[in-house]
Amino acid sequence: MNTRLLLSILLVLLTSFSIELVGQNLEFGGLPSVNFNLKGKSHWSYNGKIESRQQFHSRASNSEHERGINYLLTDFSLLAARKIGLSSRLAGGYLFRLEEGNLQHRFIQQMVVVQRLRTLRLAHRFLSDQTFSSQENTEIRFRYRITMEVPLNGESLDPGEFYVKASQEILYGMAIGVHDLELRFIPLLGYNFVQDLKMETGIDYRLGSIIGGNNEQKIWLAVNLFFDFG
Amino acid sequence: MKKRYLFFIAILILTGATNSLIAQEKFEKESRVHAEDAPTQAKQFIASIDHAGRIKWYREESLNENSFEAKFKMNRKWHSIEFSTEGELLDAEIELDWDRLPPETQQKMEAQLQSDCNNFKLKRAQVQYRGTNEEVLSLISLPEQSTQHPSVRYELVFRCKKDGSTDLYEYLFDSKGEVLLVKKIIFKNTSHLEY
Repeated sequence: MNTRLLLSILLVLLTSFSIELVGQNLEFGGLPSVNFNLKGKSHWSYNGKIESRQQFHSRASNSEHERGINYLLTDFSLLAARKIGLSSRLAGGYLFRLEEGNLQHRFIQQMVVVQRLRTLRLAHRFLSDQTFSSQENTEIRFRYRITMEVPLNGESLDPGEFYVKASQEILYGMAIGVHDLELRFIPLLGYNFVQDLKMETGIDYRLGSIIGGNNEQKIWLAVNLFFDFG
Repeated sequence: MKKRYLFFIAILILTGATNSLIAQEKFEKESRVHAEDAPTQAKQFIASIDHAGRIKWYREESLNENSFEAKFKMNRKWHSIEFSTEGELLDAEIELDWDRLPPETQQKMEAQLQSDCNNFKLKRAQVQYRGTNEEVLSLISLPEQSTQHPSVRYELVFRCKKDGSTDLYEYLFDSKGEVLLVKKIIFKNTSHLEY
């Protein structure tokens, strides 16, 4: 499959979202994250991540606007991963979320398969998570994400090179008496400073409450840093 | 304004902290270049190949040497021709179907891979030509006869499972199927695609 065909498929998927910015619940904010990846012994590796959310603007469906920077939450996660094949990895871990003084606990299980094509890489992530807190019902989610990385100069990503990374994710969540669907589209521009440090920025668009009917749209300005050790 | 300075200082510290790691790694970089930046001699060689499709030029930089590479598809196979920075032909690599290899060479290669791996799966095969411009040109033009030529080499990329680990390897064989070079392919990290 050539690059143009893949880009065309991605474009079709992108337009299928048809972002509507009127008449819906809308939230806009910042989503910075820092990832630390450590290579362990044998086939093991570890990922630590800190991700925070700040709201810059929100609008409810009744047209009430809220402006100004509001801190929302911070996630801390730690995952241990084991290589199970040439291009696949199984991981599991724990995340805790600090939100308005409350603590949420989340257990994560994921499998990632990376396809290396001539001029791009594709990563398929299958993930399930379970979230517990004293304030809300337990929620179980099943997620699939496809991510495409295209280096912008040459066939593989080298130090000192820009790249485009685009992800699309579908999430199905269920809690007691409730189930819902969320779609995410995340186009990012990244820069590979050296093999061990990458920085990305772009939009993280989320369309939630699809089954419920009262759609929620969230647009985050994402800034991601990735450090690799070992 | 103060925040902006802090941001730039943070970036400088972060990039500085990782610079120490570069020196320990093999430095190899491939970047796309315009045809006009490629050596004239190299462009003349490529122009002499009949029916060459769209040509993509790359510059490869490593600690030991720099080179130029022309990549194109011809007869539904990827061709990769490497030149020195002066335009001198280094080698030509062409995608090859496994069943086009001479049966005796195939058997010898298979025996080698079976002895090195508990289990293997071929991912890519290439034929490699070296020689004078005229020799390489004639081998590219007559791919049916090229596998019989004594100067050809074969490059196989395959998945190999051994000692409880699955890895990708690149083997270089001579025309008789004797191993010349073994390389384990180290993947670039994918943490930014996984998390």
